[in-house]
Amino acid sequence: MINGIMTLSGAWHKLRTDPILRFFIVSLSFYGMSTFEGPMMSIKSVNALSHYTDWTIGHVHSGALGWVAMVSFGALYHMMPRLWGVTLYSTRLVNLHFWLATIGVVIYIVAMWISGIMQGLMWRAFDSFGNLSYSFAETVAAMHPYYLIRSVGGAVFLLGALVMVYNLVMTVRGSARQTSATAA
Amino acid sequence: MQHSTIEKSIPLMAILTLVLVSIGGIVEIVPLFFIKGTIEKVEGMRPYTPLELKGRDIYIREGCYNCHSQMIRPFRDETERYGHYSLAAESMYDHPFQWGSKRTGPDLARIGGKYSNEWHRAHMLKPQDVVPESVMPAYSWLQKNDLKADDIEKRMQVLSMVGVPYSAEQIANAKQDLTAQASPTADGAGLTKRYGNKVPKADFDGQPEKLTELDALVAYLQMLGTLVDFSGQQAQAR
Repeated sequence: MINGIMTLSGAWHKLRTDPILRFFIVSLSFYGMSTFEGPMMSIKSVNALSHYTDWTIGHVHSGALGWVAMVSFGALYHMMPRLWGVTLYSTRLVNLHFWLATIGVVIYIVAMWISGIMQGLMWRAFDSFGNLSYSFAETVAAMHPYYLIRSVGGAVFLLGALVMVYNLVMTVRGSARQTSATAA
Repeated sequence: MQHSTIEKSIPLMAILTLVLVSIGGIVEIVPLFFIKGTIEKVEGMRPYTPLELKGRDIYIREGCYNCHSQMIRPFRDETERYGHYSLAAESMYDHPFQWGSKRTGPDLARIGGKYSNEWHRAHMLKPQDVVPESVMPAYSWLQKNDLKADDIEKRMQVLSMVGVPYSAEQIANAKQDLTAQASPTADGAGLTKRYGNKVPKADFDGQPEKLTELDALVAYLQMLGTLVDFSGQQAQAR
């Protein structure tokens, strides 16, 4: 992760002009974060709290969406124009996708972290008489707002992916027009 | 050795990687050679009856394990909420085991006997009728689908190939035991003889004339975690 990010040493200004590069840098950050989080969650006392909760789900999505999806988006934006020998249809849409994806994944993960840790703490809470403080159904009810926030985050992320599909389709169709123009 | 030497020679790096990875592998694999001694023998364990086995297959088919675990950890809050922590031996006839990894709903390792058959029936038809906060979807088709049990002998044979001690007699009488368990009026002497007298025998789905998937699933749920008797000296120290 450090090696990847430090590759930009001396060229950080490129982040201002190249939105594709932003995907890679954010992907590297999520890579570092989720691969640190994973071993930490395997520690017994952390796992005692995190296991069976949404924390695990949040962790997986920070890897799947934040790391793997982001680096895949960046790779698609980089490769597609080269494969078809054209320029991207719209760099502004790439930028829009970047922000939708980043904001979406952050909303998603934060909702899962909060609900997961809350769920774990509620399960193990005892009152002063030594009885369990919450029934399981009460912890389910407490999850509702976080499931809503999670679906909003996921929808924003998906919207970004649709923006990418539109952008790439237009890029390829643009190449078809250029080729037929040269053929004529 | 210079690190750059390793980085520049693929064979050397492959060999060193292999050495490193096999250390981790050996540490994880060697304890399995002594697994026979790791699983304590426990009184009361028996293979699933044919009806419970079908119920377990439905449990897997409907993906229940995605939201329900069957693994109580040895923590005060979990034993308080669910009962005695799960023992390794309690999963010994599970192929594959149903420990799960997420509790969107509660753990089911000791759900057996906690609620009545009527409760389970209502819960499967519409979970919110009995637990208003529930986010579980309804599984109302279970009550309508006839239980298909043509392959029950084959399923038991396959399980005995991987070590579940089904006797030839148990396999031969599978269909008879299956229908007997789902009917309170049928003669259950054979079932009792082959699986013990603790086997719950009832019209699980509330439809005496029909043998449905709900019969099998409720029969399975009602036996979960009930085989081992924890009331005696094995009762956990609080």
